[in-house]
Amino acid sequence: MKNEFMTHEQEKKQEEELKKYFKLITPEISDTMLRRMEKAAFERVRKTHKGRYIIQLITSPWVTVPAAAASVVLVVSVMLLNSYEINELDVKGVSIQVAGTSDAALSGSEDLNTLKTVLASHSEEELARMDEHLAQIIDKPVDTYWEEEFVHDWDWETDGSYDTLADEDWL
Amino acid sequence: MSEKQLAEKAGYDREAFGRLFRENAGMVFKVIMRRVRNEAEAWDIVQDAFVKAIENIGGFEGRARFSSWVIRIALNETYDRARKSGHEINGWEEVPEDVEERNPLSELLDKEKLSRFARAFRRLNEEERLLLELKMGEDLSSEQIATIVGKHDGATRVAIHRARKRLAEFMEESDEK
Repeated sequence: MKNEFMTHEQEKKQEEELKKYFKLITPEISDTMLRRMEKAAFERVRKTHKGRYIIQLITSPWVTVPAAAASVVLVVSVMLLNSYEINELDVKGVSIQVAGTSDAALSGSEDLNTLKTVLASHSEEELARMDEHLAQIIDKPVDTYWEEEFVHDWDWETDGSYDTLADEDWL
Repeated sequence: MSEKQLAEKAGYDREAFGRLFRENAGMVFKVIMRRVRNEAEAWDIVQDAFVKAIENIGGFEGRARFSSWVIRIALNETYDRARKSGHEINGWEEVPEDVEERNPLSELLDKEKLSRFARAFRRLNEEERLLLELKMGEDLSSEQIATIVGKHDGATRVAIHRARKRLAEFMEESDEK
């Protein structure tokens, strides 16, 4: 049976051989190389750390809670505003019904306000006459005109706003 | 400043990172290089290990040395890569052909004898090689080695003793041939 323990001399000798062996098979690292690797490694660490920091920031309650609250307020405001506009416009004749149910026609609040002001200053009879007159000018049913031309292709800059039409002497 | 405090700053502080890197990267590189025998890959693993170590610094309690922590990560990365590529960890080469030109130490040690030593060393399993390498090659304490290999200090001392014994036996067998 072999002895379980090595002598002190054997241990010492083996230790020296191991140290020499490791030294022999391991390349030296130059300072230049170490500095280059340090720089490259720091860039990677910084990039990862930055990404992690941003994720932590945007998922932190200090950001998510106010953001969620702001979103709720925004959604509720839009819903209230939409229902208000539709209700306001719903009673104003064929032209207005088409415009009122189309988001595209109500893209600018300034235009919407102008439209409301103009419409409010006319009775339903006047509005009906306006529709009829417009239908004669464009030679097609007025609701089709609103849907095809006004709602989708009307250019407020070049075509003018609704009060341009209202200023015409066709009432 | 403790290693843990340094490591916590190292994600954004160039100086803190530099200190940690300069103190530890050389040793990590040598340990990995002896396994992969490819400098570019070894440095890539070292960089990966530092990125992961800093990224997961919350798991570093500061009781062990940072070097133990980062070597453990680098070794795991090396083993993972070897497993994925289907290659064994066989970086342990016999004595390089150009050993005389590379190192004057060879004058002190007969090349043939060194070759026999290298062959005996290669017969050890990976854990035995790692234990001897960390103990004799890197002069780490058995406590530090225990952290790296995931054993208790006592068990690590016993494992190192057994590895040395096995190496001596392989050398004896080689002498008898």
